[in-house]
Amino acid sequence: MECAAREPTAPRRRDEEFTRFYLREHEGQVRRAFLLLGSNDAANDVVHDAFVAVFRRWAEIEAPGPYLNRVVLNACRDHARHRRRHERALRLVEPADEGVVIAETLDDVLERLPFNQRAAIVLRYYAQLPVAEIADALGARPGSVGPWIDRGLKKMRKALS
Amino acid sequence: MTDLETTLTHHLARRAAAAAPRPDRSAVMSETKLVSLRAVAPWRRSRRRLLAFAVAAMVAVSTPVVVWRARDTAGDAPFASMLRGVECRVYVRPEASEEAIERIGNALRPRRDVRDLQLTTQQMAYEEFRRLFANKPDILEFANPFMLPASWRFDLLYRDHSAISSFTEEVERDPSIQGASCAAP
Repeated sequence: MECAAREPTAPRRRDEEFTRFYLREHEGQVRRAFLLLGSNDAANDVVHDAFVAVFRRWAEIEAPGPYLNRVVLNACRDHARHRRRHERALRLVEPADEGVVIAETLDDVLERLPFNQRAAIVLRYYAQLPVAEIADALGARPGSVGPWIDRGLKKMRKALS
Repeated sequence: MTDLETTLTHHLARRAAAAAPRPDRSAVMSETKLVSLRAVAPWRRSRRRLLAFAVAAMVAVSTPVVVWRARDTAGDAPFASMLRGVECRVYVRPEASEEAIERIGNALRPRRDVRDLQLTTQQMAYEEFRRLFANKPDILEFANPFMLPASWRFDLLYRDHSAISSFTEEVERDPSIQGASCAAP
């Protein structure tokens, strides 16, 4: 009884706050990362590492949500960059069969967009974030987001037409 | 909204539903032992806990918090004269092998944004620990060289928060690294 009435200690309070934050954010972050990376394993890994980074700095971070967004997107960008490099290396080893024409799906076209355009589109049309939050998450000026989305949509229209 | 935007909104929602989030909050929290030790309220704990706090305190003390130092213009960084390095430390997990410590050093050494790389071995960290807590025999009684992490100390030639945190996030992906910390710019 005495324990229950006692004020929680600072570490316990921090753990409780972080737990609430984790439960609120985890699922949405994994789904967003999945849309950007196309892999459940990669999305879960990236988000897990991002939460570790957030928990490490929990006491210093004023706005953990936007910070988590930035960490997840930076990790997705790195992951996408490594994958592109890997795919480019594979193409050198096994050149694509030029005679084969494959119909492109929305996912194919989305995946070929530069990372910032793809991420801006996912954050706008899936997460429904306002431009200012998209810019913050991508570490860019708000003025860059609109053109990224426009250019991405234009490329998608062209590829799908 | 255009047709494409409407299609995209529905498509992304359907595709996101295929994701399979695997929450593991306890794994996240157990990977941050260093911070947890720092946060322990020390004064009402057992000696063992006091020792844990002392280790964390020493690590925190050895981590520069506000130290700045202008860099000279020599060397291969073209704008070194315009940059001021921020002191950083990368802590290696205490259980990591000597090869892992060397591998981390070899990865940091050729980087153009890293200067004056120096290794603090577990033994050196232990000696520093003994010096700092020389007047606390109850803490020293439980201390041993294997409880303190080896670390690489260096100057990182960045001055903005995002570049520094990108760097620490990048190096912390190495499973042999316990954590990285840099001075506040």
